Amino acid sequence: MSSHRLSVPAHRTRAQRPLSVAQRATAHQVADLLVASTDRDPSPTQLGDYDQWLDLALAARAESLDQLLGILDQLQDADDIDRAVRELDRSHGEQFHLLSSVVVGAYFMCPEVCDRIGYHGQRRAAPRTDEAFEDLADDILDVVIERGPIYVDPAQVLT
Amino acid sequence: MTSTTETADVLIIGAGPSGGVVAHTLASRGFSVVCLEQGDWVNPSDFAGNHPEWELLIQQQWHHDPNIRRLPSDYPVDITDSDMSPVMFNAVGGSSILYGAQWPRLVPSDFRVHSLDGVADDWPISYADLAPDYDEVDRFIGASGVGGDPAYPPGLDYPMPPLPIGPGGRVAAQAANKLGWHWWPGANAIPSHQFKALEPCVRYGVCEFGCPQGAKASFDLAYWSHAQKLGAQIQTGARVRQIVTNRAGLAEGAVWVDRDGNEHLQRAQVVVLCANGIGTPRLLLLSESAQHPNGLANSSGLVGRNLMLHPNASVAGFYDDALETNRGPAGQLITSMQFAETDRSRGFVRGFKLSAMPVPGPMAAVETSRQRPYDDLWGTAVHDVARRAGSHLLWASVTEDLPEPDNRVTLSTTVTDDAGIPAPKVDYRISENTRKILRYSVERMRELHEAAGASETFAVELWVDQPGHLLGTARMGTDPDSSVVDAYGRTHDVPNLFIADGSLFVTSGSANPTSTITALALRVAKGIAANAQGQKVPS
Repeated sequence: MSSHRLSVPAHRTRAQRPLSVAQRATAHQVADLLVASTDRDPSPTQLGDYDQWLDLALAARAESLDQLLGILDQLQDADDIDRAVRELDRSHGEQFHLLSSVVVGAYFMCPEVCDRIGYHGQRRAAPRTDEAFEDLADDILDVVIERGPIYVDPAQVLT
Repeated sequence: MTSTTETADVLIIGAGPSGGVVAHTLASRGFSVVCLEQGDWVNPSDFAGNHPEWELLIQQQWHHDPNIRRLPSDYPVDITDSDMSPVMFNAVGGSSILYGAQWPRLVPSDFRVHSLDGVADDWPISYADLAPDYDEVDRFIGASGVGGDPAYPPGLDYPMPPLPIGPGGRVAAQAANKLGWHWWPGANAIPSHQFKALEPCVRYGVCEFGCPQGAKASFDLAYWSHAQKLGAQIQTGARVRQIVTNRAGLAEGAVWVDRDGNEHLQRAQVVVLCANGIGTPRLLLLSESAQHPNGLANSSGLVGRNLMLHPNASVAGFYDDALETNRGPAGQLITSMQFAETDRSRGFVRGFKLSAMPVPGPMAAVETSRQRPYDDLWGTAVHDVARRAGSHLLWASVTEDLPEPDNRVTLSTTVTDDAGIPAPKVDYRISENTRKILRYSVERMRELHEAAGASETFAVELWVDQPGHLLGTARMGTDPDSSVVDAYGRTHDVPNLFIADGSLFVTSGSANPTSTITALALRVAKGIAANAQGQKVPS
């Protein structure tokens, strides 16, 4: 009997096939449009390691790779890519969602960006022993208790 | 087809929360237990939250919706005539693998909706009848919370101290106080300290996508690990195709298909369906025969009918202050039952439960903000949007969905699973009463955010792919003409066939249902054990 895992998707760190040079260039253009540089923050292509995270993002949406590559190929032919991306958002929301999730999601995985926005992924952050009690230590819950029961008791209402 | 040589005392179909409770309860009483589960085991190290790309993994590979996820363990759900996409997870632990572990109970009035409000039907049991089973499951899994909630009768307490509500929970609570509304620290099936096979919560914040710490009472950890030690066996990768019956009308076992497409027959003295509110009616309908032309246990015609899905609404708020919303539990920080009871002046009957939850992750902040105009989200704006990840608080409502006979599960004539077994077809339309509740709840959640000083809010009046609350499709009752099972989950038509999952619900209430599902499963299992001596079994 086969023993492959049924309830767990394979964790891929690389997409089934890489982006072509042209597709990658288009992805960069889109990424820099959706995440534009500011005085404070870099754009994706201003980061040295953006491509590493873009490839991981592509792997995370591996089932949609063909669709994504198709979108990039279409955008590659656009005369005005800014206008084409906006049109994609207006007219093909599902495609725009996929594209923006991947190119922007990759950006927010870059360590430099994580440092800048103060987000370092989900990780263990065990509460202090008394943290839960400190949260309730003042009189915050008192008014709720003082108002008394709010439930309907069928035994009382129906007799 | 191969047949097992051994006949189990009890065959359970589905290894989710209810299956785990039934297995443990009966194995601990000396019964031989076999469970058929179409999925397999998942480890805490498997979950999306272990990886930096977790926010992308949950968009598809770890999505809650089997139609999107499409894992080998899944079966498709035909939703061509449904307003919502019912979600579930197929594995040992079932949908509790991906649940938020919110652990509220139904309120007493939920069991008497017809008598109190003149709608739907009363349950054949009361809150008081079920309270000991609620308590027992709470103790077994190490539920955490604060006793004395005035939304419930006296006596409700939890074996574990509460989890921190954090700055987000406090902001939400202060808003409820300002409005004079009920709130209470959230009860969660997440132990605050080490408990049996469960690690203590370390506030990973990704509860709904699987806990990397193993600190959530998913029922693979909370019950199945204990059931196995008592001898309960699980056959994974087993797709059940049919419950087979004998000439006397008793269940003899089940035909199942293994990973390679081979058919097997597992025999048993008693069969217990724990395949959720969609999988269970699907299997009963698949088990039609000359003796049972409308499907098994379906003389009432109610198998599959009265599907209730608890439509959710939400209002997300962003705040100027840091609220630590990248931390858990998520899970609920606090809850409010202010609107759970009927108040006809609101224009609808029954009500909704509210819970405040943290929303972790920069891409979640982006997702929520997609309602903004393009230039207010993308370009230079996106940096500040993502920076608000730690101040992103969600109020969500679970609405009481009343039973409607036309909301139902049947067998698809066009869609099958990988084994060629017809998929369930869901016909589901949101009722006008439920829509009124959804709209009303959105306005109340906006009020809460306004009272708390949110800088921006985003409402979603209906989450079409949330939650995985699959209820009501084999309801319990005393009258065989208007119910499928009795008050102990025994089907009226087949004396040794039981149901112990969310299908049993007569009405849905507005509380997240797993606490009630597992309390009912415990009640069903105890009933099987207590009546074993006189149980009718196939000869």
